Amino acid sequence: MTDRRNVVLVTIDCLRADHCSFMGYERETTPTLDAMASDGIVFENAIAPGPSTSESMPAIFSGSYPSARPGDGDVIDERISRIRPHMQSRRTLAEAFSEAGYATAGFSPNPFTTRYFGFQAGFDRYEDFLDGSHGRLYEHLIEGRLSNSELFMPLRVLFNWLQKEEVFKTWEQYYDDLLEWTAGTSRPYFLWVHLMDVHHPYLASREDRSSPLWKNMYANWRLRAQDYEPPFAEWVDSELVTAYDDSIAYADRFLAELTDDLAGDDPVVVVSSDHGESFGEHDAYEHHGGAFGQHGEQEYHSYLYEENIHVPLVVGNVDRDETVSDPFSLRRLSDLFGLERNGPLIQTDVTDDFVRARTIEGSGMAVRGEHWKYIDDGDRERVFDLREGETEPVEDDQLRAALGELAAISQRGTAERERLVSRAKTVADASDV
Amino acid sequence: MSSVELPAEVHGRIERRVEGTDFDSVDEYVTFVLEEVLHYAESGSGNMTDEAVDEDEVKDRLRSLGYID
Repeated sequence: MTDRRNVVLVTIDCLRADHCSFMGYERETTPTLDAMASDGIVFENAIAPGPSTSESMPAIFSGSYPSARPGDGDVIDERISRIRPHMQSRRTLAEAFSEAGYATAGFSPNPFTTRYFGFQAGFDRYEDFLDGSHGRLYEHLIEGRLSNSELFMPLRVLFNWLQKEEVFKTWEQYYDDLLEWTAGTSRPYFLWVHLMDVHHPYLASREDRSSPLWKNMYANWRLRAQDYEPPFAEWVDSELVTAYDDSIAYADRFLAELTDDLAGDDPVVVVSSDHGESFGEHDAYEHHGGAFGQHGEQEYHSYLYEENIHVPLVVGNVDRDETVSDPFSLRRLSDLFGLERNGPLIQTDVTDDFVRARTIEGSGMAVRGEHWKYIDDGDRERVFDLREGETEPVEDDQLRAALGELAAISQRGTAERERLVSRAKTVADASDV
Repeated sequence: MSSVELPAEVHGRIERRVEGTDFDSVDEYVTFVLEEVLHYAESGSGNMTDEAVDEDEVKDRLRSLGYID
């Protein structure tokens, strides 16, 4: 690799493409990202590998989907038993940068990207905020008096909303740590920041909030109280979208501050997201459609519509004004960086005619072209012309069969991987290696 | 990337398994198999995920985000 500039990767959890103003949104949500896009590289059809963090980030960081493993128990444990060994045994994006001689740091408050799941691999400095930073008030009120009470979790969640703690940490709370690291580390560096500011609850700062706080809090609470299941009153729906957009504006201010403060380091800045967010387009809200059913009462479901998997991707500060319209899967993010190739750091020949996205177990599958999209949700196969939206499927048996074969190729690969994983585990268990 | 040599017969067997799947190449297939086997072979070598992280703490945070009921 000849180009060894500093690299900053910002992934904004839950940021869907069509709510960014440079992607045509009617509100001005992303002025900084718009400016980066105007003289940078824009991937118009960037597709997340899956519709939620646990379905997407492992594939983004490792380049492949975690396979099912014979394991125990409930849905969340099954998900853990997929992701941890996968991340432990694959070469990650951070490891690739580290091996190429970069100093590396990662900051993410998302629990699915903690050390527990193996995301620290390859980072010289990794901050997942698991070690806690509560004040005495928290310890006294929450952990002291209520730890055995049924009120413990609801109060902990509410307290963390109000205090912007744990998973609800805002970028401002760790911003100085980022700058401290970049100032004190060797060059070139790779910095990854995963923002949770756009994740539900949508709690923008006062400066970015465009409706009263009580409305914002009530709508957020309603969404949670109904377990993300519609119907919602029209004004609640509208308030949720407003609050989401305000949160995007708040995250965009992070980009403004960061690009300004790191201007002296002249980094390439890559901005994207791990998945989108629903606001009732297909009778679903948020992005996980209910909790994982630890007690078997709720059913988890995930969708693969555009609001779920179409994400922004901008490469800024590269002096290359390009628009890439062919689909790009974030699963190939490490290929975007030419770490093992001669020539420019950013490679744009990483697109495909069709890319795939899937739910974690692979029963839901999308094949996404620039204009055509196939979705198999386990019950039915449909093809949509994206220029017309995803309401009425196109009646074209030939196209459906052709795209269905692309999905089948992927499903056969998944089945083969699961066979191999299962055999490897059986042999290891038997021989106790 | 480094290269290793495989007997042609093994290569051919893998080619047949790769056919019709989304494995891009024999290389990708072999890498996948070895990553899996090495994962189990290397378990317990101390080079894995930080086991000191409290599973309950991670689950509490997933609960905060509404992922676990």
